[in-house]
Amino acid sequence: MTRFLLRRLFGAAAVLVALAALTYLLFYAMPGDPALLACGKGCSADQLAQVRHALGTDRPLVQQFWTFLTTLVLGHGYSTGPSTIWCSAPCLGYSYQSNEPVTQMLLERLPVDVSLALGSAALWLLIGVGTGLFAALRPGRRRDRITNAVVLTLGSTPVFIMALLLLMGACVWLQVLPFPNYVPLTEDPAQWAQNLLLPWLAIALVTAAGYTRLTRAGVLETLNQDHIRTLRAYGYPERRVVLRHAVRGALPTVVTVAAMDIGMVLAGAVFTETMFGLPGLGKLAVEAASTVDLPVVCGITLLAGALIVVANTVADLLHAALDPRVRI
Amino acid sequence: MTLTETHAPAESAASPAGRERPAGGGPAGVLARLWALRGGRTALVTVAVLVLVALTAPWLAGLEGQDPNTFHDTLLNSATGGSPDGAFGGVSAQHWLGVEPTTGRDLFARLVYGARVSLGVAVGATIGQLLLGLLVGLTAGLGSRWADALLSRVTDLALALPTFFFSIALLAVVPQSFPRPLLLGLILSGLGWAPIARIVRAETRVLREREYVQAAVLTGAGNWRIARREILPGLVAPVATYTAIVLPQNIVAEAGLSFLGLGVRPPTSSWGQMLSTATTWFQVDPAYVLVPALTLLVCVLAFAGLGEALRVAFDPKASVPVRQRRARREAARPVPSTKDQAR
Repeated sequence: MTRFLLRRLFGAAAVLVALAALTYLLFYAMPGDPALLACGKGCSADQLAQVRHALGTDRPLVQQFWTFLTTLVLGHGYSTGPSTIWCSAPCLGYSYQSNEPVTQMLLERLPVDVSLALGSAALWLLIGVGTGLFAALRPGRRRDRITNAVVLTLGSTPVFIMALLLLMGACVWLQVLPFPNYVPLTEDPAQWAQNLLLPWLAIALVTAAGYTRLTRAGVLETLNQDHIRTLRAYGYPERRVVLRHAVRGALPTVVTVAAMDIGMVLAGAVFTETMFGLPGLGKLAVEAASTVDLPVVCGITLLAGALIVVANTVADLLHAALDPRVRI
Repeated sequence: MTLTETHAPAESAASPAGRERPAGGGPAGVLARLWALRGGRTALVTVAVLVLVALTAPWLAGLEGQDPNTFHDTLLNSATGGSPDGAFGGVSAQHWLGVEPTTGRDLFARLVYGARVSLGVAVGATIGQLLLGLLVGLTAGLGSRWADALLSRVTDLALALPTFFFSIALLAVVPQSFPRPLLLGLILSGLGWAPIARIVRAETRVLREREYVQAAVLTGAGNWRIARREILPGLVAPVATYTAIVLPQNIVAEAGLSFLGLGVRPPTSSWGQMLSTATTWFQVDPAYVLVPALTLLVCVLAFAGLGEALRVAFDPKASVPVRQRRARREAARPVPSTKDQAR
């Protein structure tokens, strides 16, 4: 197990470094001058050279990348005229638009995504595992086929259309809910849940489909095994055989996939946030992209990549812990 | 996934044909089996209609007597901030689906022209992904151990990337003067080839050990010839099935990026672009929102159904409409490992 653990962690670290290099190359080594973007309109040649020097884009590329990495790990001092500003440890630079430190901007947005991920994960697990069991109790029958069709339809629906239909249905036609307006959990838990209900539903309905299939397949596979035959021979009620014992067969994969999906939502649910106006990482990414705010875009891409890599590693380790056959 | 169980379509001809199953391999056989599935037939017809709409867009708009870029200020109500006069977003004999708020451009014309961009970008991106994936996968599968190790690592890395954030970022960095539909196609194919490469590599390594391929090696055939004559035919089923999964994902990706205002921009229309401008109007003019949203939904669902049906049609072990056996076999099948859609 230790060797497996070490190998997975090493692999994850390698991917993270490669990710940082790619992200850096993509944005700062592109044609088009970051200094010009940072300096803004009406920038004189003198100012431009100054900005270029401050950003370090007048130095060779390898050196620039090295500074970028050390800045990320150790922090970096920026001289702005007489005084020096110290940007501490995970330093991602400053936004071209608002001049705020990017790390702080990202940390401010993260609670929204945590709320979004945890709530929707609870819902999609409930819906997905529930419908999967429902279908698996009578394989091949009508309820199985109908569940299958509904799940395929929901799972193929783009999330922005799902969000749009939910918004129009609940807030305009039925008027059962007010338009969502994010309230932090620490301020008012009831308001927090009420306002996040539609976003949670939108993500959960689109995501649950995969879990229905996983649960159904896992349960049906386990039902063919010997220990289930023994339980049946002892006269256990079928419902109990399925709900107590066959579910376990589906568990490792469901947990693994859930860990990966939670990582994806944590990294920013771009469409859901844009549609419902939630101030999370995804919305920040779109805003930054449309104003070409390079440090912010770069920071979000890195953070999203890191979150996804970490989630995948956690998923792998969980899978190995739950299912010893995976460890090699 | 079943892809690994499926081999050359020639094998489906060799296996004993079920009573209900149209026999025969090759494209005609697969098409016949697809047609025999009720869901496959519906999906195929829907997809064909949508493609036809895209191809005949200028003619369809001409039939209505409108073009997608003419403003019709007279049809708008200035008191409500420019929403169209009349019911359902200004539906009339001249404007079959009404007009766009604030500009008065004809919605039907924009929708049919938008089909060209939406489907064109998706098809282009899919072809790009296929070519790159085949190239990398075949090279890794047939090349030396070093080439395989290197390319497999690159593929792993590409699979681990947050592709959606990368595409957002790339769209932001590339200047506006670069034609957006082309850029979208390039970005989607450049970031999405990895799953195909992985499938192709795995299949190639299995096929390479087959006796008929070994025989070709013994006759002194070069790598290129082996790839083309011996391996590629065996890749048709898994790659075609996967393509049917990837294509709707590309449609959604284009629509999503344009919806965020980063992809196609007006005056060019695509379904995602129409949805993007429409979302601010969903209280005043719901018809304006529902037209592109439902078109997109129908399109994506049709492609998803087609993919599902194609998977069954390509499976030599499936006796097509016999439900019981299919259900039992499906039970043993893990979910296809497609990349998740961005949320």
